[in-house]
Amino acid sequence: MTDDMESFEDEVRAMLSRRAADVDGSTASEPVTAPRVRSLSEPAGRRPRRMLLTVAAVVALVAVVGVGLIFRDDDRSVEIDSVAPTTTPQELPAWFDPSTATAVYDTAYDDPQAAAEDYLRARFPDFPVPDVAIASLAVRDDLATARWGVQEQDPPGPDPSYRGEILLRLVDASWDVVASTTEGVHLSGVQRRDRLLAGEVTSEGIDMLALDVLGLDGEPVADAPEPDGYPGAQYRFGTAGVSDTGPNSAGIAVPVNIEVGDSPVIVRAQHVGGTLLSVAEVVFPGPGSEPTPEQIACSQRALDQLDPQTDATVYLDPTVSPARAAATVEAMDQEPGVAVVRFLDQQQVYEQFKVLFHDQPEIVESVTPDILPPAIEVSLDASADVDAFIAGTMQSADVRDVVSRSTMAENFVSECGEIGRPRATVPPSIPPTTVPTVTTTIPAATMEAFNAVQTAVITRLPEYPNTIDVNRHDSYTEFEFGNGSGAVAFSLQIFDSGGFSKDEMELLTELETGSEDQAWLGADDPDLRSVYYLSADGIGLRAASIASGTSEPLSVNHLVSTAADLTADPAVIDLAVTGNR
Amino acid sequence: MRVVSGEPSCEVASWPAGLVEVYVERRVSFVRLAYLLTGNASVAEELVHDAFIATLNRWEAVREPGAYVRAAVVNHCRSWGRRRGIEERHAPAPAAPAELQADELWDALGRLDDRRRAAIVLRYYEDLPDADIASVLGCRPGTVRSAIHRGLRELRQEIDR
Repeated sequence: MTDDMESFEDEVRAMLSRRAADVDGSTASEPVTAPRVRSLSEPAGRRPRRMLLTVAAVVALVAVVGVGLIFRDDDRSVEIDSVAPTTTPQELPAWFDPSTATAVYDTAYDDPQAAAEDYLRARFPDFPVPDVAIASLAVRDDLATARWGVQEQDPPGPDPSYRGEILLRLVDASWDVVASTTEGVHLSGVQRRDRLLAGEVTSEGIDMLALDVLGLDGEPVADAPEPDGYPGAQYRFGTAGVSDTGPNSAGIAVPVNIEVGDSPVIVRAQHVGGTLLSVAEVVFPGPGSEPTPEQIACSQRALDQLDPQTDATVYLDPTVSPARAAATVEAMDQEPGVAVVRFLDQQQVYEQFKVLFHDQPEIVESVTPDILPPAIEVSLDASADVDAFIAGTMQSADVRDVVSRSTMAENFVSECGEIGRPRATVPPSIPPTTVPTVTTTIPAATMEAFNAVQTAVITRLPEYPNTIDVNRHDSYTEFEFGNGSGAVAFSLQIFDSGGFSKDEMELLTELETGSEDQAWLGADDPDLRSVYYLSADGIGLRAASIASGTSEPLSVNHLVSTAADLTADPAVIDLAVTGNR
Repeated sequence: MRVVSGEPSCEVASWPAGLVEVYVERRVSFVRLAYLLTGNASVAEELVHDAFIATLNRWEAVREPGAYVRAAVVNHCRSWGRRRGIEERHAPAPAAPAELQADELWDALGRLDDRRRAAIVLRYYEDLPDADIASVLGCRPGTVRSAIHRGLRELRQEIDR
C-alpha cells in the first residue's frame, strides 16, 4: 500500500469520525414512541400481530430503561368522550357505514388516539407541520371519532385553518382508520358506477385542492390522469387532478371521471399550500360487492370446516423437519392454557385443501402437499387469552403464522369472495398487434405470456390471487401480484431477449451467491428478497418478494422454486421470447 | 397531551437484560453507524430502533447481542437504501444539486453503492477486520477487500473530479 493510499484512508477515517459526531449522544435516551411511519409510496397493508407485540415490547423497554412517556408533548390535552357520534358526516357519501367500511389505513395500535396520530403522521408528510393535532376523541364500543385540526403557523390565526374527523373501527384488537373528513370538503359528490368513478369533489377552502384515486396499496389507479402527481412537488399528490385556488363564490371543485376497474379504490382529497394542509378520504367499494351464490356456498363450506373446538391454528414452515415439528408440538402441548393440540401433516392439510376447493379442480391439481404448511390445531382452556397465545407462539422460529378461529373464518370468506372475479385474459386468437395502455404499449404476445405466467403464479401461489399491475420498462415487462391486503407483493420481471445476460448478472454487486444461472439477494433481508434467473434460452427473469411493515416475504427457496417452475414451462418461455422479440 | 387508557399492554415480558444492556451502552454508536450508512440522522434513529426490535423477535437465536444488533443495523440500512430506490422510481425529478459541496468526501460516500459504503464504514469507522465485515454483510472476505478497494478508488475519483 502506498503512502498516498494510507493518507487517503486516514482522510476517510477522519471524515467518518467527524460526521459521526453529527449524531448527538445527548439524545441517547429518546424514547421509542411508535413504529416507523409508513412512507407515502409503501403499500398500506395490515401490520400483523407481531407488530402489536413489538409496540408493546418497545413500551416495555422504555419502562425498563426509564426514559419517559409515550407522548412527548405534554401541553396538549385531549378530551375523551365515552359516546361516539352516530351520524355519518355530511362530507362522506350517504352509503358510508363505519361499521362495515373498508379501511383506508391500518394501524397496530390498540389505542384509538395513538392510531389517529399515526394516521396523521402518515398523511401529513411534514408532520407535525403545519401543526396538525388531535383535538378530541370520542369512543363507543368498537367505533371512535377523533377530531383533528390544523393551525397554520405563519401567520398564526385564532382558529384552525382546516379541521375534520378521523373515523376509526376496532378490528382484531387494533384500530383502523375507515375514513377521514375535512370540514367543507365534500366527497359525497362522487359516485361509482361499476368501473367508472365520476362526479366532483368540492371544497369551501381557499387553498388548492388535490385529488387522488388510489388502489388499496396506496398507488394511483392505472388510469390516473397524472400518475406522477403534481409536477415538481416534493411529495406525490394530485394524481387524479387539482383545482385552482379559491376563494370564490362558487368554491373550488375537482372533476372526476376515471375508469377504476373492479377493485375498491380510495378517493383522497387534500388541500395544498406549501405543504399538505388537510386530508379527507374514503374507500369506494368495487362493484359486485353482493356475494354470488357460488361465493356464499364456498363460504358456508369453508365455515363448516372450522372445528368449534379449535381456537387457533399454528402453521409451521413447510421446510421444517418432522423432528422439529414434533418438538414444536410437544412444547406447545406443555404451554399453560393449552388444552389440546392436534398435528396435521402436509398431506392432511392437503386433504382439507381439496375439500375446500373440490369444485375448482384446476387449483387442486396445481397444488401439491409439499408446498402446504403443516399445521397444529390448538384448543385453549376457557380462561386462556387467544391473542396472548398467538403473540407468544409467533416468536417461534419454525412458526410461519398463527391464525385465530375468527380470523380464519374471515380469511375463508374473503378468499371465497374472489370466486368469479374477472381476471385479465387475452383470447388465443388475438392478432400480433399491440395492446395500448395509458402510459405504455405492451406487445400482445407479451400479454399472452403474462396470462400464462399469471396462471402459473396463481396456481403455484394461491396466496397471491390478485394482479396489481403490469408495467413496461425499458428492457423488461414487470408483472406485480399481491395478496389482496397489500402487505406482500410478488413481482416477476421478464427481460427482453438479450436484455439481461449472465455478464450483467455478475455485475450486480448486491448478488450474494448462486449457481451458473441463479443468484439472489437479501436472503436475510426482512423486507426484500429477489431472485435473478437466467433460462437456458437466455431469457432473464427477476422474481422479487416485497413486504411492508413486518410482513414476512417469501423465502429465497420459495422464490427459486417459483422462478424455476415458471421457466421450466416451455410454453411460458416461448411466449416470453415471442412477445419480446 | 396525557396518556390515555389503552396503550399497549405491559403484560408482555420485559426485554431480555442482555438486550437492554446493549441498548443502553451501544445505541448511540449504532445510530452513528446507521447515520454514516444512510446520511440521514432521523432515519438512522428509526432504523436502529427497528434493528433492536428485529433482534428482540429473534432473541432465542441470538448468541452475541452486540454483533447481532450491528448486523441488523447494517441490514436495515441496506434495506432502507433499496426501498428508497424503489420510491425514487416514482418520485418527481430531483432538484438540481446544491452548488456548494460542503463535504465532498461525505457526499461521495453517499453516492457509493450500499455494499461498498457499508464495507468502508465498517472498516474505517468500526475498525472491523475483513472476516467480521464479511459476517455482517453476508459475503466472503475476498468480496469485502474488493468492495473496500473499489470503494476507496471510487471516492478518490469522485473528489478528484
